[in-house]
Amino acid sequence: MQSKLKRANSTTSRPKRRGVILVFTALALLALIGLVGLAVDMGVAYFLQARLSQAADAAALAGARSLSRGADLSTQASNAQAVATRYFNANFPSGFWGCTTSLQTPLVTAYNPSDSTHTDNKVRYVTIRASATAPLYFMRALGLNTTTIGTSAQAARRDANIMIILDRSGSMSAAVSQLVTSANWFVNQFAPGRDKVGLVTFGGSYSLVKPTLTSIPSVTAAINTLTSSTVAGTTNHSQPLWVAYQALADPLITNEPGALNAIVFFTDGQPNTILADFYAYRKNPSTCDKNGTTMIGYALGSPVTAFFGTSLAPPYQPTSTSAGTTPSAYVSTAYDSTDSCPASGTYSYCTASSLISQYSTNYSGCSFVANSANFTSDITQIPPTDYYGNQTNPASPYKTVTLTSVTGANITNAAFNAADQAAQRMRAGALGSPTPIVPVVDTIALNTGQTPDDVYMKRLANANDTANTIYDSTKPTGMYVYASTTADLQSAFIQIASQILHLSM
Amino acid sequence: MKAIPRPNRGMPDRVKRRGSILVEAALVISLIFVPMALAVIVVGLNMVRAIATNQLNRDAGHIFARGVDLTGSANGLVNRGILFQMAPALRTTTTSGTAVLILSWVEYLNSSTSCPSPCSNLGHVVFLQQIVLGNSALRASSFGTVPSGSKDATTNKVTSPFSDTSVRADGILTYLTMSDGDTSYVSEAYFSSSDLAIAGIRSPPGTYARAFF
Repeated sequence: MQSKLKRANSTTSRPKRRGVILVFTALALLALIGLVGLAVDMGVAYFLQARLSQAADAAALAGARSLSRGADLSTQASNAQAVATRYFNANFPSGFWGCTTSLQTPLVTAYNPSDSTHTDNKVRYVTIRASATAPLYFMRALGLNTTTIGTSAQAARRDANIMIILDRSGSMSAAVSQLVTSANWFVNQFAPGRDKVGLVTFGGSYSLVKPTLTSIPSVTAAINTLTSSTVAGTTNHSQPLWVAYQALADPLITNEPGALNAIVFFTDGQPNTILADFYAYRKNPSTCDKNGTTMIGYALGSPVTAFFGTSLAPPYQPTSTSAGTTPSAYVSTAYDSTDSCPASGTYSYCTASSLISQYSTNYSGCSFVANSANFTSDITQIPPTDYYGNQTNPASPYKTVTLTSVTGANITNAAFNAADQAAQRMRAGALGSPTPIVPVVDTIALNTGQTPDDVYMKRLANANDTANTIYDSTKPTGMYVYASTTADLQSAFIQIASQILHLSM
Repeated sequence: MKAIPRPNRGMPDRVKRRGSILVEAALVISLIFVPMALAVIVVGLNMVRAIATNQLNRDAGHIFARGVDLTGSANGLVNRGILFQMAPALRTTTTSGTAVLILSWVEYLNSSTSCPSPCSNLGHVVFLQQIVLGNSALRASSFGTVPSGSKDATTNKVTSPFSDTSVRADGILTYLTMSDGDTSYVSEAYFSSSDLAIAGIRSPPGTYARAFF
């Protein structure tokens, strides 16, 4: 009986065990396929989330970058929305991996949407919100056909206050046409109504267009007055640098610490002129005088010469705002109108001798009256600062200067040092109240025959370069671009514009 | 009660069955589970690499578009190193490894304003800068390669973008609509998965990602 039972058990259990592996395999496969499917679907969704996020990020950045396009704020906003949409679609095209995308109209605001106070802080924002419905491949077995992923991104564009300084000295005559094209292109990279763009052109003296919200057309018009026949004069760097800085820090003009403050300095040569109170250092004050009035002057290092005038404010500023003003107008027109200086072209031109002869009651001791090149024998030393307080022989000078030796070489070196000091004082926040204005300084040098001093230009810009031994990482880092020919000018301006736009974002 | 002796039939059934189960299990494991596990590993690794490549591409493109220095300057070299440290899965340094990263800055020149004389590239998209990091032998940009003689060795900026016809990148217009004077930043990343190549199935092995900023 027992043996029968055992046999019966053994015969009934055998068929059961025969299918065990098949059943186990099927069950394991089901579980594994489910797990693998879940992993694949999750992985794909994760991947698509990353791509969607990247597309939104790129759209926000491109939109913010294009906020400069357009003559008014609404056009700029429309352009930003259109560009943002284009970039989103380029990075996450319709139907990408079977997705259905939904991009909300990009939001352009003059305040941070996430800030309930909606404070205008000189920044505009582009906000992107997008979602995508992604297909699921394995989870369909559980009735889940799609999943929705969403993302948002935001980019900000700070307003920019830009002062452009253009060299209109005599050596620019062959390159001025290209300069006008490139400078105009540069100016139009900024946004009217939000960005403030001003202009300083310089030779031995300067001309200024103040930066305002509506100044871009004025700047363009002034740039267009530069022609090969209007550029002339010497090269004075410290004056236009400081005048541009004053414009950025002037509370009646700009003085906006929240905005990006930048100075773009273009030159084709090395400084050779300085504006300073040379008259204070006369050897014979009793016999070389101008009615007791302090006179300041431009001194040119090579050939040694000097021009003197009054200290009317701003000094030596031609009343015309035309950037093409001939630089021989060293004395203000207001002064000329009463002083009857001899005319030179359309502008009055007062040399030191003509001024002295007309207004000094006692000038017999002035050697430069006979010849301006003689002025070195009239003064005891080169002034320790230029008219704007920039040291001509600081503790760590760029160029070695012996102030008491009034030579052409020392005047030229003093001009280098004064400009170098001007840039350093700007970065130290010398002007601006209550918040000091610390601008970014970018420099462009063009080779028109006189090889630019690369190290000097890098120092002005505080460029992060091994050649710049005074680079200060705690101060705004500028960019120096060298254009070896006039054909490279626009490329140089493109690089600077791009750098400023980068900094404003 | 006396136990009834079990009939001797040679090898016991249980032992026989145990052997067959082992054989079946071995077959199932070797023919189904092992390939499946390998496939899961390969797919998983590729997924990880695809995500890492995309992430590196996005991060690189983003910081490039924001103007972070990635040139050959002292500062740029430090930034390059940091960039690749963010993607250790790609096993790549700034000059070698299993991945390549190509960063391009382009402009569409469609007028005399954006392309001043002398202009030979009117109506074209041109490279203004192209930086190639990692193993440059792995892949070239889908939009063209700037010849080494056409760009500065340190900054990688194109010397004459308006007149040098070898720096055109018109293929970008296929993907991105641009207006005159528009500039764009393009990042491309490629990770070579030659270690996961299956002859005749996956060729060329690798993951490519592209982004426009």
